[in-house]
Amino acid sequence: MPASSSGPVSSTASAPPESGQGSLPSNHVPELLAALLPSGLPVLPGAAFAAGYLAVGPDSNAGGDWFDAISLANGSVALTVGSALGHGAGAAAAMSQMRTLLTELLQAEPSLDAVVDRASAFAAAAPTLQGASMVLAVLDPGNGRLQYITCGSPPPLIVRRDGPAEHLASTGAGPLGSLGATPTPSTARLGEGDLALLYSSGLVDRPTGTIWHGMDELAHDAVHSVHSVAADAARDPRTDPADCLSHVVDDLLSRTGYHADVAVIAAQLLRQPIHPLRVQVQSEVENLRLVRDEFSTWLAAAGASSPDFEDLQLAVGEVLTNAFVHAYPPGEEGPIEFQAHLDPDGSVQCQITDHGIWKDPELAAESGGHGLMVASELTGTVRVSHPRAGGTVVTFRRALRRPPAMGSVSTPEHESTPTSEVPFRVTARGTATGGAAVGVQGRIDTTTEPEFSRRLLSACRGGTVSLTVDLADVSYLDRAGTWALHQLSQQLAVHQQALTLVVPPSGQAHPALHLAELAHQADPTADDAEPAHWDSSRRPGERW
Amino acid sequence: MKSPASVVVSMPTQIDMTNADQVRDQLLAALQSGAATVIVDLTKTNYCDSTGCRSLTLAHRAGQVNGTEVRLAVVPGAAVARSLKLLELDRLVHVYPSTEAAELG
Repeated sequence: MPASSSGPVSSTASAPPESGQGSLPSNHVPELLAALLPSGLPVLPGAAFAAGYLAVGPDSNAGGDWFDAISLANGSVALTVGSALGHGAGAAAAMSQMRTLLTELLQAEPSLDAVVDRASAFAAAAPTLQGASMVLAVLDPGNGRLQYITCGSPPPLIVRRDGPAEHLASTGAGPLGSLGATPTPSTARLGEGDLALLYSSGLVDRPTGTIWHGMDELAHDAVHSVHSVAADAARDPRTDPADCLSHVVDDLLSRTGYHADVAVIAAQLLRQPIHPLRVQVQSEVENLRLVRDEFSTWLAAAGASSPDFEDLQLAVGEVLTNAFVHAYPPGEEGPIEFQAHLDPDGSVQCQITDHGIWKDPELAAESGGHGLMVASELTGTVRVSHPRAGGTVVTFRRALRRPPAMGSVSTPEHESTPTSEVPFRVTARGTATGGAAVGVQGRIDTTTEPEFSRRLLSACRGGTVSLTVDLADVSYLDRAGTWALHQLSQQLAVHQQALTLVVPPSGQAHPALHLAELAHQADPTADDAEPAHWDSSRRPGERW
Repeated sequence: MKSPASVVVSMPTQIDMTNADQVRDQLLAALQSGAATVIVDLTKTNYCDSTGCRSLTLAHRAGQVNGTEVRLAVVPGAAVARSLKLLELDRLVHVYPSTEAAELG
């Protein structure tokens, strides 16, 4: 059933302090969830990021989706979206564990496949993380190279600056914790202005149609949103790329019809990287505001938002005031130089230089060194040095973060399962080939999955007899169901027995099996179903 | 002639060393009006550094001397609120979320 939006959806634009804030219905984001997800995204010189989370479901029934953007030492940034199975505090805690683990592994491991390997091994041993899906990517803003691995998750969507959208190909790894070969990363390339969208399957699990339809619709809506946001931005020159990206994320999350939590993260390669700022003025009092204004404009263009924006403005103002007042004797003027740049790691570094005579703060006038105190409070370490050639150099830095958009929609509990559907049922069928066979009807979701698992396990005698499962009449198959099939296939493999799944390409279960990388289990000739063409029709990798 | 109970003094959008002295003089003049309370309207101010805070402190001290209460109206969460907190002015002077709230006391 479509979820109804429970709050006003308004658009935010303009002034830096509000930028990056989502405009999602947000009356009820469970506190725990908000505390376990990142409070900010990095602000980098070559790429912009935006993220959002939509909690969907009966009140406080938060899910286990996650998103994150992690700056790496070499100037690249890791992006991830994933989803632990289940709901509630347990799932939220599980996703938080995985986020922490990924942050650690990304610093320690040299390659993406090694990170995923270890994350999957960890999940295999942690019941709450088994079957979690994930997409993990590393973007190098310097050359636009995007390396990624999908683990039972939809692949990234690329929206090109000049129009078309393209779902990248899945890399062929199943959900975390499933046994299998080491996944090989795939590589895509972003051009200037191109956008990469990573999302959890909730974004494409729509009330009507399959996940393939949902992906079609997403590609269409994303292209439309990117273009309309770009058109709006062209009218308002103050809009920075990160703002535009936030609006695109808001647009997508403000669609109705979600029935599972949604996590999204978007990255865009900047067409105009943030260049360093350098201003030199004479120490006339009137020039103080001139320098501050230049810095404010630069800071807004860099994508700084509240409270980074105000704090840096004040810190720079205080140190500049010191230089204007104390560097040169009364009645004399001299040069004051201000520099700011955005480091590849996402922090703003500021430097204020004068060529005057440093006065000890304690001895300098009645203002009593408040300036340096304020700057230190706001930025951490402030370094004051005196080059041999004379004068004073003051430097400090502060990492910029942009807040993600957080929202929630309520779906009354009774609406979560349509009543008009065929009820869930597992029917035993004999087969000529000696193995067992069952047919399944209705919904396979978190509610019916335990019975589904038990019936299948008992049909194949605990995994000792090959099993064919006909899923042609399944009306809905979620990740709890595909994870049950994963576990069943592992149980059968122990006894060298096969699991065969029968699903026509038009079947509801088809895309879910594909995402879970269970497609290879399918037998296109089994039973009376149409042949299953796993590599045909709506496969990721196609251009829209 | 009866003195008004309170006067509201509007502050500029930015207060720094270029106008801190003007701000101080403006507030000192208001303190001479005979009003029991001087409300400093900082709701339109988006920048106030330590120089600006010093002028506010001086006005507060002058008010203590002549028996006039100085109250600040500051939008909660605004940059000015941050400045006041950093310089511990919020411990010295009463801060209200609007001029109306400041008038009510």
